[in-house]
Amino acid sequence: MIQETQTDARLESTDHFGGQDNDVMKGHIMKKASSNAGRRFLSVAALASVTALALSACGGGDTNSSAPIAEETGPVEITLATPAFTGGGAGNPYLTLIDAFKAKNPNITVKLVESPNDQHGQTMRTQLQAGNAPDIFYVTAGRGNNQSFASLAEAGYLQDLTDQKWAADAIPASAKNLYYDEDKVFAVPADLAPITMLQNTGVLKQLGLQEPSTLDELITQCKTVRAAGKSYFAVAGTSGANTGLQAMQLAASLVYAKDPQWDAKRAKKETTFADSDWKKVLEQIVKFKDAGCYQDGAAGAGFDQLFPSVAQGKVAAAFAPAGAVAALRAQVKDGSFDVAVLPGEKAEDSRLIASPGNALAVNAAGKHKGSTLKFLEFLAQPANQDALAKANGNVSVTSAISSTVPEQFPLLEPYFSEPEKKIVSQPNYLWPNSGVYDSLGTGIQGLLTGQATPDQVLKTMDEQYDRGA
Amino acid sequence: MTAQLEQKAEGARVTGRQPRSSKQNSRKGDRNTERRFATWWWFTPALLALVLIHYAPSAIGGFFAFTNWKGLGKWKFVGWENFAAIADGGPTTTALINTFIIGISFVVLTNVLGLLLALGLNRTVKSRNVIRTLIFAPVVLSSLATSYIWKFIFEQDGPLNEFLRSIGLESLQRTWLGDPSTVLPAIIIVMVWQNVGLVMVMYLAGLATVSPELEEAASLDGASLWQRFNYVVLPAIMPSVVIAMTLMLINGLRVFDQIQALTGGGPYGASETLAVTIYKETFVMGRFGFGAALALVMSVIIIILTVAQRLLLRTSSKG
Repeated sequence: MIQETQTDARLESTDHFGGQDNDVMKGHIMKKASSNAGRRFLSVAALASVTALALSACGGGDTNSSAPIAEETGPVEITLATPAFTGGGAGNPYLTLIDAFKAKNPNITVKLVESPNDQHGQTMRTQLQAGNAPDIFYVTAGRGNNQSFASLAEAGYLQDLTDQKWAADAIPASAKNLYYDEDKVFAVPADLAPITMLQNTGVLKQLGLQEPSTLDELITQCKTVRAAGKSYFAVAGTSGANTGLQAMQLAASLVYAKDPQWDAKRAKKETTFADSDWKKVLEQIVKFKDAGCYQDGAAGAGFDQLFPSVAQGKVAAAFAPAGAVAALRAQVKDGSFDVAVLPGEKAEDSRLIASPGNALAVNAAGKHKGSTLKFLEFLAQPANQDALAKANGNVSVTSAISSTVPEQFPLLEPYFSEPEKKIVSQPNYLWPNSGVYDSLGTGIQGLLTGQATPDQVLKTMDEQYDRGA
Repeated sequence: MTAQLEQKAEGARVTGRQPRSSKQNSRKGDRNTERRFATWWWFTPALLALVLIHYAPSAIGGFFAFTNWKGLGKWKFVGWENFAAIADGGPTTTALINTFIIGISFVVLTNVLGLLLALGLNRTVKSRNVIRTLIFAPVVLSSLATSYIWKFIFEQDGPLNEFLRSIGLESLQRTWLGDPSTVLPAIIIVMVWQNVGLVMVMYLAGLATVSPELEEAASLDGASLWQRFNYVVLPAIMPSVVIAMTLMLINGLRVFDQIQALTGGGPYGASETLAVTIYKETFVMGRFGFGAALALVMSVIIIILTVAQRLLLRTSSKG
């Protein structure tokens, strides 16, 4: 009898998932949440937990950066987080500096934590929100990607470094627009990675080719290299970061040689990608493609195939930050590799992109700020910056400050000796969000496959730019 | 879905039964309340865990779909703006089309191939256990790891192109993952390869319930192979068909690992599906609000298609 009553009640009150339920559950007794009281309880509970969790999520970033920073004398452990170092050799370049710091400050132990390269930005964001972020961590300058310090600073997660004199001293005058966010400093540059072509000079010598000084010369050389069964460049079509790097190098001479302040103009909406010389940049890439400058299957090639291609002499060059040549030289002892700068339309248009984009920032909610700032001050000293650059193959920030030529890149001498004229900032650090660089990278893949035209790609870049920060 | 519903029914039968007492009927209300209270005790912890770990975060995600949250810092309520941007089209339209193409091809291919394999390996073949294991093996492998291996196979000078060259079919060489016309078939092949074993196992389980005598009787009555299959075997394995098709449809529509590893959505969005777009918008571009809106849209699409498929299968099984 009870059974019948319950089944009848069920038939009236159940919300059906197809009438099949009745066939399957005939005779089943439990009503569970189909009773009114149960339903109400559940919906209230759900609403309460949703509200609670939502409010806690939007809380983030209330910091105590105004609290006085105490000097700590007892044993302290702080954590430094960087992207994983893949250059082999002695390992992460920070390790030697950590040891040197420990020698001077025996009570402070610095623990190094690495995350996979492409996840470092997201890992830091998640940890900052959860409240278990490291004390000091790698960021990039400006705001153009998810590792940039600017959006973290605006959300209140970073320690204000404006009143630390050593921080202001460590920022080269040419990079002030990258590091000052409304007259405040939240990060300190670590080193400089010039964006260059990584060349296998042996291949060029073998084919009797000299360093090209104009883009037209390069195209002619492409055809010679093709005829010899190789290709001039290896590009990773599937890696937006790699194709974007090439585009920025072309832009250095085609856009920024004539107008070094182009990004500032774009920020003020005085110009757009679509009606600027960025069109020439993309058209040049199409010209490269048509002349056979890229390897077969470039559109589908992955990043991991680039360096082997250069190392084995299958191609003459690949686009990469200059520091990568150290890794290449370490792995292939009998090869000859060097860095070069992509030429412009005319020889005098060539520009080098070299921004101090790698930086370190301090967690505003860290528990040992005194020790952390001591460590950062140590790293910001010129001698230590030189040591870091030596260890990871990049250029020391001191070169940018004092306009000295980095000894490991003698070929870049013409650029470092006239920095105001010949060195330009890395464009994507100054763009408001990561969508712009991402659409540039994927757009170039579209150019390689023929799915897109330069105008379409530029239009998408403008759309992403206008979405703002 | 059926599995879940049946589980609930099973659970129901276990709990809530109390021995009949000789109390008066007027106490029937008390016993009902007591019984309901007792059943609540049993599953409240599990229900709480389910709500907090599964439903509450989904609801919060749904809430953020109506904001412009960037993943950290301040956010504003923007109402239907995100959904308007999705409806506007452009890249999301391509993603939607790709999602359908991949999802439907995946469902059809895995089920057809899985059923054929199950039928072939049901009886008779001596080494069928070994073959079944080999076909099922990819299911237990990490989809990300195997996708990277497939990426290597599909490379310009990778094993596939090398093989084609060695048998003289150089004209068939392609940039498999870099050519918009071959990228979707390549991805579907990887997905089907990985999951056909699972479908085969489901159908083998279903076929085990079909008695050979029934098929023998049908063939004695003069039924052809196709008639035997259509009128004897297929109706008997209908529950397996429903489960397999539902699961594969859901998996096919929300595939992410293989696509992210093989192409990242390229070339130029030719293999981008809703799941990949959601990942890109949320974690690469930091547009959590927009990504949540996309995720909501994707969930609704999957629910609609799954319900539609269930209704279709039920009418066909009854008819």
